[in-house]
Amino acid sequence: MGAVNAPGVGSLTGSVSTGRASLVEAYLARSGMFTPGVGDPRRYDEMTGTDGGLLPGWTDLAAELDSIGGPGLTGLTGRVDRLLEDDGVTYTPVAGVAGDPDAPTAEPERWRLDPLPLVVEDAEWTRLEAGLIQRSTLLDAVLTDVYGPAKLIDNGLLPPELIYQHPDYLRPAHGITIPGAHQLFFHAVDICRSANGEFQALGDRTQAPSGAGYAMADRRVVSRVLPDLFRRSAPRGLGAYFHTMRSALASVAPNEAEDPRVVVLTPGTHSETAFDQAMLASLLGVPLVESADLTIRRGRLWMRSMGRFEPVDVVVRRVDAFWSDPLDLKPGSRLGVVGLAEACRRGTVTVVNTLGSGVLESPGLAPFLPRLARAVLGETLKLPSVQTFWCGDDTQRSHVLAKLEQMVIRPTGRGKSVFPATMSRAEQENWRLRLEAEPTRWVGQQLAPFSEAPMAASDGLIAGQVSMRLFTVSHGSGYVAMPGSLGRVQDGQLSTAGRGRSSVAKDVWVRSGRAEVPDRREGRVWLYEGPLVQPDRPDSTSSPRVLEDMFWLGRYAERTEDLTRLLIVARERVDDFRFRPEHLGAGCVPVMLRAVTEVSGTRGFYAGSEPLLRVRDLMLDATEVGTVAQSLYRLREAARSVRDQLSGDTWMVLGATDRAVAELSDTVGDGGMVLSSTQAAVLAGMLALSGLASENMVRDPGWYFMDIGRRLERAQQVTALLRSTLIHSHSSAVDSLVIESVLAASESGVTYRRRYRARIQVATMLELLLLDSGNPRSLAYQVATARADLRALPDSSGTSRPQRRLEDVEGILRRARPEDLERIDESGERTELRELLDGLNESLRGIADAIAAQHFWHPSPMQPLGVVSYDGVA
Amino acid sequence: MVRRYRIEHVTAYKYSDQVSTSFGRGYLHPREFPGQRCLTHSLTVEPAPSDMAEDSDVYGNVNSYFHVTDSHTELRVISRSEVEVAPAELDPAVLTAPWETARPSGSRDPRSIEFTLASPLVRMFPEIEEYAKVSFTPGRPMIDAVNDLTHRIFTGFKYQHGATSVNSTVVDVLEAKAGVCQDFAHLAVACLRSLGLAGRYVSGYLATRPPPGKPRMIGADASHAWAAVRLADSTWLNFDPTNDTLADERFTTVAWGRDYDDVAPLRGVIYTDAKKREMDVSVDVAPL
Repeated sequence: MGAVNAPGVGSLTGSVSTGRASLVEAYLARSGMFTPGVGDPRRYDEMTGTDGGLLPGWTDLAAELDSIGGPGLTGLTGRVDRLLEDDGVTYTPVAGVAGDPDAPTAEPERWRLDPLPLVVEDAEWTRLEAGLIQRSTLLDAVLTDVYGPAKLIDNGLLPPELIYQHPDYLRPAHGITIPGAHQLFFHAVDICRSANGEFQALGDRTQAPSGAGYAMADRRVVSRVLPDLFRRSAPRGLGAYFHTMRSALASVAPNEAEDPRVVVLTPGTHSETAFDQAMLASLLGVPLVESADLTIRRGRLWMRSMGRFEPVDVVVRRVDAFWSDPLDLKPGSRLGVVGLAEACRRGTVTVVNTLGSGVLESPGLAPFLPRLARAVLGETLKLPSVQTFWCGDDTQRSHVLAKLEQMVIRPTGRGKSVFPATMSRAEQENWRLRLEAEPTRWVGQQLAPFSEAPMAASDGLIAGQVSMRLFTVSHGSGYVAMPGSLGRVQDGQLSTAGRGRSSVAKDVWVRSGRAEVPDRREGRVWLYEGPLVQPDRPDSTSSPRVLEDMFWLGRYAERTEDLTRLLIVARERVDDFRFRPEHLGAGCVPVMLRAVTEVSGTRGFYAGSEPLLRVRDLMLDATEVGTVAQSLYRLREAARSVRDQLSGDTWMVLGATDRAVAELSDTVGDGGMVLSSTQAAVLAGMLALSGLASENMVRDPGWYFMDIGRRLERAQQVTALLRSTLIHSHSSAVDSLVIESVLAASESGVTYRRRYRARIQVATMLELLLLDSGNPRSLAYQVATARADLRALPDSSGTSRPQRRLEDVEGILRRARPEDLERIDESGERTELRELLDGLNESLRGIADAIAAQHFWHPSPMQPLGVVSYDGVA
Repeated sequence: MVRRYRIEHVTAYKYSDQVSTSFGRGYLHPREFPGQRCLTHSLTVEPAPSDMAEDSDVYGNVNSYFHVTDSHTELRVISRSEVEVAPAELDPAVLTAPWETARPSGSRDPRSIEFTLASPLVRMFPEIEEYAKVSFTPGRPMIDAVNDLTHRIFTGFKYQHGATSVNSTVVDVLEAKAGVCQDFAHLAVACLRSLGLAGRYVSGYLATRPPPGKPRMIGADASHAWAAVRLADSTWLNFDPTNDTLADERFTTVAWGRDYDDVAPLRGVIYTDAKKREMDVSVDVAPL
């Protein structure tokens, strides 16, 4: 950043004193404020309101923007992207129909976030919050009634079709009552702003509202890239909201639970908002679990843990209710727990949101909310919906048909919305017929009047059409709102701005008007004054699924490291002899290339083509099994599924590794420079991961399994490398270079040179790499460590099958004599070495299988009991 | 005349491999309502479940949950009940009123709207409405229209196993002109709903041994199903298109719902590698 003015309001209202165009003035003078096609073409501007002058809450931000200028803005965007990568903030676009958890999903994408916050004034927030809490209270009353006395239907306040026809009205949910004042626990409302600045609700989220975790992630990033502004503006903090949530969750546990165990139930890492779910679990400090981690026994919900079952009291449900029980809800669902609905009805577990809460998402309820508010609460609805008309009502349907082009047609159940304005005449006619034919299934909603706010683009500020998702949680006798929200810029606008398909988020800053900020302490628990807290048992959050993922995390991290080392050595050998093919030692090049192929199990090097191109492919091609890229991909997958077990720094490391790989991938015509720097970066990343593992992680069962994975992988790698390179003898010159290469690839070169005074021998090298239990790279060391890891497990018997097999390997290694292994027979083969390595290879595979069989529990396939039809058997 | 029955309903499964766990939900306990009493009921599951409970669903049907945790290759579910059934007493004035007067609306009998709407196994098609309108002509007395529909399904459709599959819709049944009792019950319910009437699906049993001089009815050796329409005075008229009759004291009601899925006699989830299984169902309804 060059010399800039001290931030101040002057540069905005007066002339631009920096000598370059003011970003903010250019933004305010933009054309395009008037958007045709909407009833009232004007849009509300978040920065200026309706009269064109900066609102007080925005002056600091405007000053900051003008002080950093265009280049500063670009830098800001870059830093945001970088931090999002480092925090591993992702979003997984859904390829199929929204709402179907079985729909195929694409790969996770980086979360998109605009660096500029959306500022909400204190007074406005107070109004909004009151409306939000009223709306939660009202919908709670509707939910309680619908699954209870159904008076609202009897009294004609709620059309029965809106409930009985809704796919998320779940009949098996009748009979469930969660403890506490409310049946609606989490609620989110998407809101926009009309041209005169009034807040309007676009829709309610009651199934399993997502986004609070993203809002927190957004806040962490934006507060770091705009630290001064953040300190000056001091927006209300979000942390207290999660503390409130934690205590609210504990308070809805079934009666007998004293120190209730809470879990977050996720559909899995391929879910659309997997990050948000993991973030929420970590903010709450509770385990993130999947279907396979849970089971119903004796009418209660339990979490599998190291062969035991731990009771679960409260489930934060992120699986759609319909999918959450294959017995009483959707048959065959693999995302749920068999018998969960039964346990809920018995009241042995509390699931929030409660099963069946999704029925409140029907946009068909919107037209009835004002009269429900009057009838149920005796109040006027404070936060009205965007004008919505239910086609099941004759008058409302006539209105929709008359104004079809100004409407978005939304189903009352699940499914996509359609925009008649973009349709041909014939399509519109078809829709008219459809609305007449099944009127109760549709609403017409006035096209939403989004307000505009500045967002960063490559050439300055552009206007984004913004909405916000607000959150409440049931607490005590009322609701508590998150003092902030998940801001979003509408997709339609983005495609024209060329920024891809997923929407861009905005951090929302609620300004605190009060001088001191007491509200920041709301709900915050400082020092706990009760009796000494008993820690959770370390193994209580170790389901077989988590242990297995940790095991593979260790394996893939090690595989990535070992293969990268081998590729580095191979690359160096290729370069060494590139211009000296006649050199005595040049024969080591094909040996090492073959080692790459055999150890990784990849396709071979192509005869006659440049070997370094193939090395590059092995770094980059994730579609080929056995490559570094594939290993990294699997590593990332495993890490995502145990995100709650890992240090947040993990994502920083993986982010840096990804950037290095991306750089190589983007470089055309690399002479080897980028390849070598990428290899170094990947290696550094894997070393950082082992550092994190050894210094930042508690020794719990998950850690031990990660370490066992690492040990077994390293043991197999070193065995495979020796088998590929040393069973057949070569010329003395070649063997000597091969040994040096193998030592380098096994990170034991320095030790070897020091210990054996640089005299190269097969026997001494085998001593160091196979038998020396003091060398952390040797096979003996891996076996001993894996045994120690198994012994450290809480359910260790000392005589388990994996442990016995590891002891067998130790015995074999103890009996091996390096000088015998070195011997070459008449065909040029080291026969004893071959026999030893073949046997070891076999044993190591067996050990991995034995560990899987003993610890990674896989249920038998789930099947239906069998269909009994009437009149006999179908 | 009030009649009493002792009912035994046995469902047996045999698997080709061990089943580690079975979860089940049964609708096997005959419900009570004016005209029917359930004097005794017992449900036995073998092997013995580690957890078993009874509950009542949204429609007031009694249902059972069981969880077998002993590994098994055979599972038997035995339901025994004694019931007392009286003939339905319906108001003749309501039965002869024009059928249109029985249509519920948002302001009259709004909760019955639920039974006018499509359900997972009873979806709505224009063909069904066409078929129904032949019986339900404008202003026709309800009882005549229902008798006519019952008779048309009985005479126009062949009782045949395998004519339909799990994925069949009511239109498939209409086109195949064949099916079994639950198909005919679904078809009848679809006809009612297509006209805006509230129709429900009823699951139960038929007296196994016919009274002297009467033929043995179809579907008497298994679970049976029929349909019911809601009348203007909020009572229900039960009719059985499979046997061309109104339901009387030969019919024992177990449960009712929107369609088969709401009240399937037995469903569940098992964990097994078994590739093959056999099922055997037997029902005996003995007069007392």
